[in-house]
Amino acid sequence: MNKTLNINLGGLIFHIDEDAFKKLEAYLGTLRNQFHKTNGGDEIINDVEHRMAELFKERTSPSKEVINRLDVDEVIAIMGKPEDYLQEEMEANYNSYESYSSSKKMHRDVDNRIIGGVASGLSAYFNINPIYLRVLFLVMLVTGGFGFILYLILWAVMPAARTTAEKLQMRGKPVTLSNIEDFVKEEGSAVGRTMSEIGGRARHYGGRGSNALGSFFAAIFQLIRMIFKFIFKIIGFFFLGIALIVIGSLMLSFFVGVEIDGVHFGQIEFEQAMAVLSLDSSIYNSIMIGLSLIAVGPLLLLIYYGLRIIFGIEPLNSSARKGLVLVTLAGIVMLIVSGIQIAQEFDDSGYQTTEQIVPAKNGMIILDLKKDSILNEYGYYNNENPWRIFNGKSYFTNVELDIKRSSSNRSYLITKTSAQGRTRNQARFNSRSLNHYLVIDTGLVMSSPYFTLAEKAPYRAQNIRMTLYLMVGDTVYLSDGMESIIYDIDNVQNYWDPDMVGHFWTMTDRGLFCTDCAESEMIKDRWDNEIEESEIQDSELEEEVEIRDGFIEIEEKQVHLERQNRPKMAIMLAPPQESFLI
Amino acid sequence: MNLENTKAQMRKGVLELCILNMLQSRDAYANQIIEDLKKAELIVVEGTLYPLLTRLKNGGLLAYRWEESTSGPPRKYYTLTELGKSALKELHASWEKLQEAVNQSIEETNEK
Repeated sequence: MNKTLNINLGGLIFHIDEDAFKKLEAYLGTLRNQFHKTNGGDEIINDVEHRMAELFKERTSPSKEVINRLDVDEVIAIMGKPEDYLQEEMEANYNSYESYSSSKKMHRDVDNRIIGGVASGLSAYFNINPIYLRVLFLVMLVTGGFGFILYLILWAVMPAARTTAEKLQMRGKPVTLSNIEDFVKEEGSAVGRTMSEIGGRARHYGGRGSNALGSFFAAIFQLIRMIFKFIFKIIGFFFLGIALIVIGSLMLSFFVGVEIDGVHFGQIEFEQAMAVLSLDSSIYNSIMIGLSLIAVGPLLLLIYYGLRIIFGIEPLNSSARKGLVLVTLAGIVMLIVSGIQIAQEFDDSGYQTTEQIVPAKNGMIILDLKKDSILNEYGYYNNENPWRIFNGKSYFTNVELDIKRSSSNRSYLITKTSAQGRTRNQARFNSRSLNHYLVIDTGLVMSSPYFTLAEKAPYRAQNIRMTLYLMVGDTVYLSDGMESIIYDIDNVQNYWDPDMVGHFWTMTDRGLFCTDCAESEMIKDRWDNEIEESEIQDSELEEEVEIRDGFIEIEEKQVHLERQNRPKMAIMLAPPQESFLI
Repeated sequence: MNLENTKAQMRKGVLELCILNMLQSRDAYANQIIEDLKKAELIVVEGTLYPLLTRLKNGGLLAYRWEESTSGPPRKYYTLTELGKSALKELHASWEKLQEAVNQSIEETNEK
C-alpha cells in the first residue's frame, strides 16, 4: 500500500504516489531555481508543467489512475535533466545574470531628439511619452525661463546614448546579446521607415505625433532646434571671426602700423624703439617670444572652439589645455623678466649741468627756436609725444626752457641734461651722450626743440632742462616757435606759455613783466581768469555747504575781495611805458 | 575534449532556424515541434525546447494562441510573426552561406 496525493499539474488533477511526488517536486523545484532569474522563467516552467501533464495523461487510464515513480522517471527522461536545460540556455542564463547588475541609466536620446535629446532620454528612462516632458519644458520656458536653464543643465549633465549598450541602458533593458540584436533590428527598420518618409519632414513628424497637437509641438520644437543650431553655428563663426580678425589686425598693425591719437605705431616704430633702447638681443628675443607665446593660447582656443561649434570636432583633452595654459604662463614670465631687465637699465639717475654767460645786446636777448625740416614735419607744439622718428632716426623733444631772475648782475643759461642708467655713473654717461643744437651769441639764444642720441647711445629717458637766469632790467623776446620748448614760465601777468610768445618780457624785482601787452587785454585776461578761478572755488566749496553754512560766507567774501583787488594791483604795478627800450 | 558538447553547440545553432522554418508552413504546438525535431535528431530531450520557444516568443519572432484540445489540457499553438518571417529569411541566408563556406573549406582542404 502506498499513500497518494492529489496534485494540480498544468490544470489537470493527478493522483500521485508520495515518493513519485517527492521526485517530481524536486525536479520542478530545481527547474524553478534555474529559471527564476531568466526573462520569462515562469512561462518556461508553466510550459514544462503542461507538457509533463500531457505525458502523465498518456500514462494514466481507467485501469491505472495513479502516477508512480516509474512514470515520473520516464517523463523526466523525456524532458531531460535540469542540466540539459541549462546547457541549452547557457548563454541566455549568463546574460540574464548580467542584466541584474546593469541598472537603468539616464542618457540623452540623441536619435529621437528635437534639441538635445533631453526630453526623449528622460522619457525613455521613466518610460513615458516624451511629448509630456516636451510640453512641460516649453511651459517652464514660457513661465520665467527656468525650463531653458534646466534644459541646458540637463543637456550638459546627461551623457548622450551613443552605443547600443547605452541606448539599451537608457530604456532600462538589460544589455543582453539578444536585446542588442533586437534593438539593432528595430533601429534598422526605423531607419528604413525614416528613409521611406524622406519625402517630407512634416509627414514624418505628423506620423510620429499621434495627434494634431503632437505634430504641432513637434513642428515648433523642430523650429526651435533649428534656431538653436543656427545660433550655435553663429557663435562658432563669431569665435572664428574674432580669432581671425585679431590675428589679421595684429599682423597688419605690426607690419603696416596703426594711428593712435595721431601717432603712428608699427614695425618701424617697434624696431626703432628696440634699437633706441639698445637692449641686449637676448632681451629683445625674450620680449618677442613672450608676446608670441601669450598670443598663441587664446587665439588657438578661439579658433578651436569656433571650429568645434561649427563642425562638432572632439573637445580638447586636458593635457592640451594644460599645455596652452603653460605656454601662456611662459610668455607672461618671459615678458616680466625682460621687463625687469629693462627696468634695471633705468634704475639710477644722473645729470650734468653747464653754465654759459648770455651777454645782452642793449639789454635785449632774443630767444629763438632753430627751425628745420624736421620741425616743419611734425609741427611746433608737441609736448605730448616726446619721441619722433624721421627718416629712420629718432628725435626726442624732451627739451624745456624756463626763465628765472638772476641773483647776480649778469644773465646766464644753465643747461641740465639728465638721464637714467643701471648705475649713477652709467646714468651720468648717458646724460652726456646726446646731441642738442644750442647757440649762444650776443643777445641771442637759439635752441633746437629736440635732441638726438649720440652714435650707438641708448635711450635712457634723457631730457634737457634749460634755465635762463635773467638779470633784472634785461628784456627777452620770445620768438615764434618758442612755445614748443618754454615750460611754465612765471610772469607777473600770469600769462600761459603759448600766450607769452611774440611779446617782450622784462625782468623786474617782482618777476617777468610783459611790456608790450595791451593794458585792457591784461585786465580782461585777469578778469577772465578770476571768474574761472572763483567758479572753481565755488564748485569745490559746494560739498561743504551742506556741512556748515557759516563757512561759505567767509569763502565767498574772500573771492569777492580777490576779484576787486587783483586788477588794481596789476595796473598799479605797471611801470611807465617809456622806460622800455625796444 | 567533450565532443558531445561540440555537437550540442552545433545543433543549437541551427535549432532556431529549424523551429522557425517548421512554423512557416503551419502553426504548431510544442508537442508537434518536438516530434519533428526528435525525428530529425536535432534534440535529445524535450526540456531544451521550452526555454528556446519562450526566448523566441519574447524576442517577438513567435506569438502563440491557446487552443482547446480533445485529449487533454488546452495547448499553446505557436505562430510565426512578421518579425519572425524576416528573421527566418536572414537566418536561412546565413545558414546557406555557412553551409557553403564549411563545405568549400572542407573540400579545399581535402583536395590538397
